[in-house]
Amino acid sequence: MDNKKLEELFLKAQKPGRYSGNEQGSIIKDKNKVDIRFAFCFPDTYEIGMSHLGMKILYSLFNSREDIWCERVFAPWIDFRQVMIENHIPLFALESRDPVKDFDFIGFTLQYEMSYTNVLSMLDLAGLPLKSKERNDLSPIVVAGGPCACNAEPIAEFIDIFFLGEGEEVDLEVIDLYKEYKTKGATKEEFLKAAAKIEGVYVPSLYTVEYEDEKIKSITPKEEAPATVKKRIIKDLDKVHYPKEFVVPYIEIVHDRAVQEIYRGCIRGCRFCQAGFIYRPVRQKSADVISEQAKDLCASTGYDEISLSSLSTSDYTELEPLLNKLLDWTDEEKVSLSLPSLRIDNFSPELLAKINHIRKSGLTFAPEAGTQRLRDVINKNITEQEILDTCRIAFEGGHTSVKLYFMIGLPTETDEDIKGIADLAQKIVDIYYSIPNRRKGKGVDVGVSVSTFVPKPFTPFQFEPQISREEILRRQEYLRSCITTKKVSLSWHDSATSFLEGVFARGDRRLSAVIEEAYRRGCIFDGWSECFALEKWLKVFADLGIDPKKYSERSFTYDEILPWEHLDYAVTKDFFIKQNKLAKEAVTTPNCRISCAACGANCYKEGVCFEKR
Amino acid sequence: MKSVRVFFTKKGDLRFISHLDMNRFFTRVLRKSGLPIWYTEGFNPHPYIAFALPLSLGFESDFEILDFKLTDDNFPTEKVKEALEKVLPCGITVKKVAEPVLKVGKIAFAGYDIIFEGSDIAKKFFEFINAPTVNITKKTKKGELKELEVSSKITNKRCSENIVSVVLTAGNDNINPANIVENFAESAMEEISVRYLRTRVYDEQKQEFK
Repeated sequence: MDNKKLEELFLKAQKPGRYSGNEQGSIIKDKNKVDIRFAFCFPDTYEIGMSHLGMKILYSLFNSREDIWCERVFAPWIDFRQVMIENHIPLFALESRDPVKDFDFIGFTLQYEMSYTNVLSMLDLAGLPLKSKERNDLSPIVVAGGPCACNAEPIAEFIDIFFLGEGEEVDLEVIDLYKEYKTKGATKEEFLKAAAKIEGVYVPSLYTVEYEDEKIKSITPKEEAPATVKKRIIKDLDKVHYPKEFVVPYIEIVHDRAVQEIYRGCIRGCRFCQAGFIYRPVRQKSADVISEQAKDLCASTGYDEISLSSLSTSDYTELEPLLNKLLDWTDEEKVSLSLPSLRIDNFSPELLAKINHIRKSGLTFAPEAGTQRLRDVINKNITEQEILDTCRIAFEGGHTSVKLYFMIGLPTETDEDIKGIADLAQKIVDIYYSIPNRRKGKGVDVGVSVSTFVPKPFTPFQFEPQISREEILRRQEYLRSCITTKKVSLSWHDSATSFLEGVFARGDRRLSAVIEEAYRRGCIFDGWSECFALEKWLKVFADLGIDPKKYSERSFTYDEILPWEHLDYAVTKDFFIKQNKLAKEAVTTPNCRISCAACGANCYKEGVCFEKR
Repeated sequence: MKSVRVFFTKKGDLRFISHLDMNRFFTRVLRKSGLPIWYTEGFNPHPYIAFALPLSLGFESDFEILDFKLTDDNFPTEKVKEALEKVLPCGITVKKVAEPVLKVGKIAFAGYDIIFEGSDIAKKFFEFINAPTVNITKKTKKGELKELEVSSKITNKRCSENIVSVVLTAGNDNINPANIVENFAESAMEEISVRYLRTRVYDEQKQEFK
């Protein structure tokens, strides 16, 4: 592309650094010396996408191969998008500034439903037809992965291939197959059929879906496509590729630090949590490997902060030895450590002392529900006493603020449970003032952040309806009326966003038309409050004669065919049904380390399922 | 403790990186350099660094100034240059490393090349700044628009082909060349594509800043 013109246009953007590339650690190759060009697209801004660990891992992995050049692409923010359209600049990759249209693969990572219109926006900016069936050439192949791939049916018409599960192995297998088929001069159709035979590869165009009213009548594979597609996992995390370098951005991003993954999966099984099930089984990295990789990463990037990444840091079995190993060198090199995702029930004074030693930052905990009954329903396995004890430890350790995460709209929730949130917050305030050695002259701040429950596929609550928008607003208002002290500060998620998430999370292919039409009418960056317009979406639903509430507010029955019925994430539907029934009885299930609940994830013969109990 | 002043260039794609972002960027560069950097002694120790004269987003520069401190009094300055060159990206060239002579507050002037697309438009601009009065509107820190007459603040004017070179007051009485160009473009009713290069920074006697 004409670099001089492009650079002039960069200066018309609010943040040119989002588009100029050339950051430290970005990888430049000779395009004539590679066989495969891969455009890794994150359908959100540079600052969000550059904070994402999965992209860093795959970028580094793909580029470790001489024959592949993987480049980064982010959704241009509305200001620069307009500039691109006006000046006929097609979507380009940051490294080469070449149009992504000429690449072999265009790969999207789907982290949240609200980014779907950005996927369309990026395909459109690239100058490609939106629908898979309208793109006839072998290249570019449009692929997608990430958590939303577990039910990406609402965008199935736009994507050629979904990768289910962890991408490190399956992505390369598909790239190799493509290389072979490209050399042979094969058609896209031939390639897709062959790719569908690889485990973890879901080719949506090879499945016919029939409907009966709001339900699905059948999902039928065409020809040799497998009846169900099973997700892939990496068996040994100590041996899997981990980046020695990150691309270090010049401009400030959301998580501007080194990140070290410590394990995948989660032992807990909270019944609302999709991540807790789709990443099973739990597999850990050893403390030695983590410490070594973290040290290399800090040295190569110059970052002065490292964050440990997992779904629940304190469930890492070697946390104490790991912290000791890390503190061995982080102190000397003035690197600070951050431990996100700590749980309340295994938060010891020793751990707190270590964190204090590291850096004084805010403490956040997630009780999720206000009463013990509801916490049992969702299988949170935390008691009120544990919450109060933890806050006491934190306050005694000098903290003056805690942040608590809750959800409203959980199955079986009553007003009593909502009032329970306010009561719990009040008890925490009272604990603070009962401590004799509290910091004098300093008040306490208990932050209560409330999101709305969204039923997600591959959870025991996948069958449950979401409460209506009116009811969300009523319950939010009720909670506000229950809070009587200024020591508790309340914040919540936008009800409109939660509603649309609820529609797409359990959506089927009939929603493709809605998403395309919404995009055509200007919906992009729906995750951003300054861009999101629910009225526009509701108008599209109405015009197309689709009732969104039939997705979000409907109970899915145990025996109906779910939109994701043909996708296999190892945890069985039977298990989810059993868990759903237990939830209704408010009976908890112990975590994977205490006893096996026979969820099905042991089929991989790896991880926590085979630890000695 | 030893103070060090680095003179460097900021060229190419780095012009898209703002002053604040450069600050964070250099913190990481210094960490990577392996130099015995002096850290602040607060709860979150970080390298002490200071840029002399912030450069506008979109500008290139042949004369950027960064001060920081080393813990080792006897650390040779040549070695600082070597260590930095190993970790700096293309676009930044270290021209000189020395101990600071003047305080940053002594900066009084800065030279710029204003590079136009063609010589005709450059000539017109040259006439504009050579007029007896040059009025510009400038946004104050409070966001208000302020009218200024700046003819006396534009000196050492030269025009060669498509480049107009000027020396403008800098520091406390800072004039941004983009401000003058904007006002020129408005009065000439033309859309102008232009690049800026800071060529040098001077003290009160218009001697090169040391």
